[in-house]
Amino acid sequence: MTELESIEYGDRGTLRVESDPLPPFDGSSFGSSPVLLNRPKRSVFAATVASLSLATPMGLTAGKTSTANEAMELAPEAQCTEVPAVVSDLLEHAQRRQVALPLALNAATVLLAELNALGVVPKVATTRSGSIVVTQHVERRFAVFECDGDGDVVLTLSDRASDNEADAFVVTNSSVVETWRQILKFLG
Amino acid sequence: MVRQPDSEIPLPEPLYRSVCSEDVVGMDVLAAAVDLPRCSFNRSRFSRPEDVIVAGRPADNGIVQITSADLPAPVPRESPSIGVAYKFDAFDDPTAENDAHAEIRMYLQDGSFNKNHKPHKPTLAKAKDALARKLTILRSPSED
Repeated sequence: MTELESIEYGDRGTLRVESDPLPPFDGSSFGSSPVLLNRPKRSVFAATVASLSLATPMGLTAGKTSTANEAMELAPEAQCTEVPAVVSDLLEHAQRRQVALPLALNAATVLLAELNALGVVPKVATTRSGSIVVTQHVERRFAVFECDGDGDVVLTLSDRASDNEADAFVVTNSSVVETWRQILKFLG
Repeated sequence: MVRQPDSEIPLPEPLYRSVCSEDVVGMDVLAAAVDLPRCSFNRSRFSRPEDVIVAGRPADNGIVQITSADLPAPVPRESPSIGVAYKFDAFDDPTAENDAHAEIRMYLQDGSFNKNHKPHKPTLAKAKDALARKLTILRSPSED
């Protein structure tokens, strides 16, 4: 494994991204349908995330997870003071379910970093099939991003207070800000 | 020996599945709680509700249920293949490890279930949401 780059989150922590010999991620795995997400801006996010190491004196849960290709490792050593909550949530939930797929993790990392930059702290979960689900809700209106094992991201807007069918889109490399505006409009 | 599957599951028979705390908000079960185009459940005829809670998935300590009578209405198939909708059905599917195993499957209304068929992802997302809406919480999951 080679560490490609460290992402500094100011005094909140450092996310190190490492890679194994998988092909570079060029954004194309976000699918081809015309909606949403920004192409990753940081080169570190353009790499295929085959391994994430998170260093924190808070410890998180030290030890190795058993993902499909042992893709994720939580390092116990202290290097920074705090990590972004959304990223630590992602790692924690991926570890709990032990099934997060590498491309799902990659897509979710990009998404969470973008949402984090907007000040959004969503709920994060990992499904049995290895997808990572990022959810924001207001009362019974839910905006759900599913980052699947192919690296695709699908946004579902579901109003559980109504009988209306949910709306769903493949998320691609347009603006997260624009996407977030759509979500805010939906959430009311 | 694996029992022979029943040709159909009675409409009022409850089917159980485990969920974790991240799958539930209040009384709403999120789409993350289900897998499609096939989703595993336990039949109540052959198991108790708590049998869905297994050591291998300790976080999945809540229980949801559904009956065949409560399955969602067909979900329209979207672009680029507009046409026949996907329907939901429950199938008895006993295995050597789980005599009570059943699956809720989605498949095109004019055909039979094909495990190699991959629905359009937004359609799949809508179908998961539709199925999750129909699940009722029998035991709320905890974060322990």
